[in-house]
Amino acid sequence: MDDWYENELTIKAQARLDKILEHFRDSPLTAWGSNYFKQLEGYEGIYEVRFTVNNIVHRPLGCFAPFQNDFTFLIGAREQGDRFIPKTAPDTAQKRRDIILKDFSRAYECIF
Amino acid sequence: MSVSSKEKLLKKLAKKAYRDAYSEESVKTSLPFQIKAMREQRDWSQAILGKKSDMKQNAVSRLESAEYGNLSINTLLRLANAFDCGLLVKFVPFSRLVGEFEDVSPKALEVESFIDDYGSLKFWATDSKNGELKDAPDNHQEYSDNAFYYSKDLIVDQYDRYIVQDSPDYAN
Repeated sequence: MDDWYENELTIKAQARLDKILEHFRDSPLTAWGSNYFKQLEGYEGIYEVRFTVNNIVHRPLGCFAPFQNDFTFLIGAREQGDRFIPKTAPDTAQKRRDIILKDFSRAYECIF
Repeated sequence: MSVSSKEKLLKKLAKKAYRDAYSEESVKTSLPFQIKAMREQRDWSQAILGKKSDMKQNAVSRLESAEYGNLSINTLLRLANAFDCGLLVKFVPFSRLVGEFEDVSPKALEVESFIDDYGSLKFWATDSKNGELKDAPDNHQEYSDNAFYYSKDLIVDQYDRYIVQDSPDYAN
């Protein structure tokens, strides 16, 4: 995720994501929904933070793990023509979620 | 906001490009969150806020998203009028800007309407040397903590005294 943040996001997109996460950090989970956050259909326990900067739709995927109030980013992704880039992002996210649920030490706390 | 988060933000702000983006997103991303928080504080639907600010519901919906990105000062003033609160637009140093966003919980983003804020205003306006506000004329009810539960129209009379008039339509 650090590579994705540093290399795939423009500075403006980084600031947008930082601001969104700033609000998520201080809000109850029930207030995350609607504009920027939703469950990814067809993938159990996978959620996306969705935001658009300069016509690029960013859709990093994550899950609630290791604990209920922890949100762990699993993979950085964006959308192009209704498809994920990378194409396998949802499947990769699902696999990584399973790994984290089996071994909590595979997730580490990030500071943003 | 943890010390670690602050230190990380400080490092990012050292880059001019990030500073510019942070400043922009402090408006474009954070204001929509505040509009939503203030609307929900008042238990208003988007349609009600639209009606009060002379906008369509879908326009309000767009304003609650950073994706829209076209918040004009005129639009913000219309919202401020609808919420019956002030709008502060001013240049500030980054030390002030980051301080404004240390707590961005929905509760922290709420802003009282003029009526609900009146107690603070009264405290601000009261001259400490003269003490309490003067008596109001007989045909008006002097402000009290209870008055705003049924009275909306707060006015300043010809003697420069703060008074409220009975108004049965405060339910709005």
